[in-house]
Amino acid sequence: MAKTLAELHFEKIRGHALRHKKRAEKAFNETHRHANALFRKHKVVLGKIRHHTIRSAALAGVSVGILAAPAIATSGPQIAFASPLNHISLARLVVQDRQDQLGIQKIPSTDQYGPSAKLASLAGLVPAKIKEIAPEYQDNLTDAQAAQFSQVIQEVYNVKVTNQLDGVRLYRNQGIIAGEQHLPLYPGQPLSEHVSDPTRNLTGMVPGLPAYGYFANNRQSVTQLDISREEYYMALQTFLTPGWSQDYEHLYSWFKYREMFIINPETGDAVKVDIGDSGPGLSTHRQFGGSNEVIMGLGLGAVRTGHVYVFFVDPSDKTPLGPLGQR
Amino acid sequence: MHVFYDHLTDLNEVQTILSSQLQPEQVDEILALLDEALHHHVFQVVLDAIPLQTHDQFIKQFAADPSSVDHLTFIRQYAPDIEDQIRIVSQRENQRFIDAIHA
Repeated sequence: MAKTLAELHFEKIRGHALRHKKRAEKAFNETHRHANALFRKHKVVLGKIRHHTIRSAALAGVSVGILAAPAIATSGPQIAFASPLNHISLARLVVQDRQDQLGIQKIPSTDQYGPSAKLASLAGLVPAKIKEIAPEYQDNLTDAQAAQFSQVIQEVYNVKVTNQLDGVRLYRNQGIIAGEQHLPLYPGQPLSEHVSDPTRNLTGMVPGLPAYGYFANNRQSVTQLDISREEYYMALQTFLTPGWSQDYEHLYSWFKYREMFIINPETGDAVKVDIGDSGPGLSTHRQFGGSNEVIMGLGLGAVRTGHVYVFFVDPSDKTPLGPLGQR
Repeated sequence: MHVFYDHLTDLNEVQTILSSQLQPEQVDEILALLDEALHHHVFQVVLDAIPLQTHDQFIKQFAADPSSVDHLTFIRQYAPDIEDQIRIVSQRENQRFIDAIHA
């Protein structure tokens, strides 16, 4: 649909504001590079200092409490959010039972694919709440709906998310996700090294160079962060972002390894990921892609595709990449 | 949501201009970006004004209470005209943005 003059005017002004901000950050980084490390040390993101003051107030004793009521199960046992140990012990049994029912391959490791999330899904609390906020699938949530989503996600997963960041909005924050192939960490990396995925021989490796290139120049320089980023990467249609053509260079870098939150609204399974590739192509009629580890973490291992909601993660969030348990 | 230099920085003129052209939520989005830029401009001035060896302690205390008036008291020891400097950089950058959107 063609944009109105008003929309184009707004995008032009937003482009100016983004460049204004970028220039300020660049100038500061050039003259006070050491200060960024000091801000990180004291857990402050300078540009987001007002959010920091809000969080400080929250930690002082202001609670949100949107999900204060005990979990209500639509089927199965009544489960309250008790101690994490109780969560995981019970959930582990439930996950194994569910895998048996679906006939899917046993997954190594215990919490790797979010048994706590499956616990919540079976309790029906998170999916029911999502259904209440957004009864029908729509390309994009309204700002009000997104704010409600953010509140639920903060309360349940302890991750701060938003549907716009630094003036950037996603082309779509709802759509279909499907499994992607592994990305090479360095030139010539063999598929056999992607040990976190027991189905890697079925998944395969992309034949060409990903949008953001290799994670490292060679095997020796690969870091744990590189491994995590590849393990839990998503593909996003960055080229469809509003303002892309006007601000391509900035947005290309801005999206690289940007941390995102993906949730399966049918089950409540959620994963913190990073943007490791661009895509999928328009001809696929899908909006998002995910590594096999992401697909499994979303509870989509049996079908490898499904509806998801996607949000930006606040840069101050320190949750590791991977499936998300609950408070 | 306050920081110690809020009374020295002013986005009202920019807000007035934007409000005549954009929807309220669009204005808020633009102001949020300009606010983020402003923090970097102000801290560039602040960190230039105080000795390098005080930066760690200053940022630590700022992180603990961004709105405390003690921060200005501290900086004034090294730069008595710090409030003027912050005011000037804020006005300069706001005007730069206004000129850019009118270009």
